[in-house]
Amino acid sequence: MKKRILACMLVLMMGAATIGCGSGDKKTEDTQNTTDTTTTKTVEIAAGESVSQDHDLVASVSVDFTTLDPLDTNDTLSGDVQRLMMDGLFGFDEDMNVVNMLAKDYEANDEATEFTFYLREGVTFSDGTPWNAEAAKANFDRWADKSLGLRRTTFLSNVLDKTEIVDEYTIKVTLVKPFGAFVNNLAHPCTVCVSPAVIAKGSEEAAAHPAGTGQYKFVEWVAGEHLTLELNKDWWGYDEEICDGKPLAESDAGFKTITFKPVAESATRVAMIQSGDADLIWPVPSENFEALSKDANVVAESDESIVVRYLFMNNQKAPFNDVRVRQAINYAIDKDAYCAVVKNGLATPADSIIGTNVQFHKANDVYKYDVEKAKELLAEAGYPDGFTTTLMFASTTANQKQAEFIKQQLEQVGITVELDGMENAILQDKVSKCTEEGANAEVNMYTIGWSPSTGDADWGIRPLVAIESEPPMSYNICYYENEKVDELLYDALGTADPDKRSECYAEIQDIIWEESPLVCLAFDSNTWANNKNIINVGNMPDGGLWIRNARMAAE
Amino acid sequence: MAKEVVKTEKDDIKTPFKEFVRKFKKQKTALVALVFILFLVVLSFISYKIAPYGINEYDYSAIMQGPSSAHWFGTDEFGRDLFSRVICGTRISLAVGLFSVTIGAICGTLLGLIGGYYGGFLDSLIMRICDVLFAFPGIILAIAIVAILGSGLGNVVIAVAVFSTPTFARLVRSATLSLKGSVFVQAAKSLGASDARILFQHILPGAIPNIIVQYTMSIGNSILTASSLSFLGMGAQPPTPEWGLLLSNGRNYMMQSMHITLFPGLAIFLTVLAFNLLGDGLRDALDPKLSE
Repeated sequence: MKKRILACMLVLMMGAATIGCGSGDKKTEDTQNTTDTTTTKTVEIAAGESVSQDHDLVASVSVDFTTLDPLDTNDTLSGDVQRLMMDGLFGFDEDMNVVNMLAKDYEANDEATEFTFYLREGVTFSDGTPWNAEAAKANFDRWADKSLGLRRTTFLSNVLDKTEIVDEYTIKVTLVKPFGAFVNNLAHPCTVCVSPAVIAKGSEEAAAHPAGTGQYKFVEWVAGEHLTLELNKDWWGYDEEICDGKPLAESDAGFKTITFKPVAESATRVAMIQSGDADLIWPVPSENFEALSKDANVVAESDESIVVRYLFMNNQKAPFNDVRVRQAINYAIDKDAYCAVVKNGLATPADSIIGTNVQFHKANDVYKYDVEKAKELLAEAGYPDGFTTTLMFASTTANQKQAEFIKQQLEQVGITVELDGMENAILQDKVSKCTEEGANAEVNMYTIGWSPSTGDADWGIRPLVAIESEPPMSYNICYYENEKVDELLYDALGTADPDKRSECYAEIQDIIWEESPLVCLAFDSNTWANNKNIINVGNMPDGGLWIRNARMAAE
Repeated sequence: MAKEVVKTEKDDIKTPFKEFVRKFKKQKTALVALVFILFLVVLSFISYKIAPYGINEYDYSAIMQGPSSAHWFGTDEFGRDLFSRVICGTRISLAVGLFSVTIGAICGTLLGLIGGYYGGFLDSLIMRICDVLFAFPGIILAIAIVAILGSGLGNVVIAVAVFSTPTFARLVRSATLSLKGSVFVQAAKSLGASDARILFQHILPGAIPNIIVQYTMSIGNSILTASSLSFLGMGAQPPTPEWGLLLSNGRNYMMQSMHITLFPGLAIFLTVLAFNLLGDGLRDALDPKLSE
């Protein structure tokens, strides 16, 4: 009884915390509602009263930056600072709806193979180069260049065919195959636009001295120590005229400089925010979240993320090749308890394979915690006494706790789980780089978290369940093979019509929910903590930094 | 006067063991440590029977609660009773300590005897290998060995055994060197005793006091090393209630639930302290050079 009450309370609390997210609006079209922020404010700042532009912000981050070249970046953090310095043709608002940035508008043909982009006028790069069709073409050509060999080279190079300049502010891009998620991909942090002058100097220059059209300009980066940015007061996002009357940020928003300091130890980061040595940290370790919330000088907040936690099962190996066994496991895991125990209440039970804020998300009913039902299903499938299996995971503290929880839950229905935690590189060799067929792969069960930084259903689903995504190609570690799902995935990619795509993805989500190739455990929460005088900072649903409209009250 | 002399003669018939007991009794702290260790040994046998909760019995409604009458040491992040887990961990820690040091002591003693007695190339070879092993700090060596063998308690035992071997080898070798030249060994040799007989019957007993002291001290160390390895995620795997592992888990919640770290930490601290104090006491009692 006590357990129920606690779980209910936590669910209510999380519900209250996420209601403010405003995630209902899922339009692809430009909505430009970026000035509407949902952060709970502890201080009120009147228009023009922000002192943030005189303040040097210090943000403490958990890992170091890898590079400043967007096309060579596959970690969220490096992408975050690049997004501050550079804008893409499209971007996201803080709820991850796609908004127009350097592109004012676009048109696509029905097959989603030809896209015409109308560019914003009056924008210049921080090195003085003007933003126009030529600059856009230079970027598209770079994305299409297969010879660069950068980490994100394959992100678009396989779909881009050619880019033509129509007039000074219009370009036409032709793709080699239909790609309905193209616009979303152009909002991904790896497709922000670099100054053509930098591109001309080569990838090394892009990695060390980036220049973009962003709100901040690059100052210096000392690896392992700090990375400093400085406010670009001439940023087009402040300009009412360039933004068609809706500036992206208020004129007094933004900081004089931002210094990012990598500090690996999370306890140290927590201490830094408490002592005032840092103005912003993210993420907050969930076990410290409560303590920080009580600190009078700190605001600690959380918001629903699009990171989904999964328990994968190898669908080609017994006993997981029986849908009843997979459903039984789904019933046997108490998602509410998972959020409360494993995530310290900073998560919500997952109702789909993709997060609520991902485009085309469709909610299903969470598999109710039902031990009896699970046992019945197992008995029907021929495992009345359960079975023994293994769970592989990268041994981090969080994963360990999650694995122990799953073990405890499955024990209740007679399934014995042997935990097999190992170092991540070794694990990836055995799991995601495995060249064996599913039936011979070593993996039985596996845990993973996944979030599509394109904000689009395609990147949230295809890498996890499409047949083409089986290891070593991508992350279909469930070895799930359903031709209907594949067909729907390609149908959805083959059109730029949001309604048609929405239908396809809804059906896919229903099938996956029913067939349960994986257990969708929970949607994570993003957590951050900042100096109480600062408002409008936080995380976007993909865990990226959202600081565009940050303002600060005087002491 | 005569009476007194007789009395002295009677008292003078002291076996080395009696002498040791007499001296050891004076070491009050060591005695307390011994009692504590005996208590732990008994506990390790009966812990699973007296533990109020099962070691994996979770209660999601009682997560990270502080010490109370229901949970003496509080509960951990899954609502498991920490008291039960800590006392059941006694068996693991003691077993790892005893096994690893016993293996290390046996190997080290054999190597030391052989090296010291035969000398020459064999001696150089053994001692240089020991030097190499000595060059690494114990924990680093243990980490290296576990990295090669893979994590798990069995491999921790091997790792700790390997790094405690050279200490014993060096110790026994030096005792062997000094005893090798002694008259009784020469006598045994001239009577035609075999090498094995000389080594085990005549030389080894002379080295035993040193071995015992080192043995006791090493147990404390090896418990600490084993816990450290588990703390680093290389030893026992969850949900084993190994103390180092409990400590490592608790570390994440130290800011708000200190008890999860405190009690396993105390258990390690007291156990290691007890073995070290006992070792000190034994050394004082066994070393003829130390004046009373």
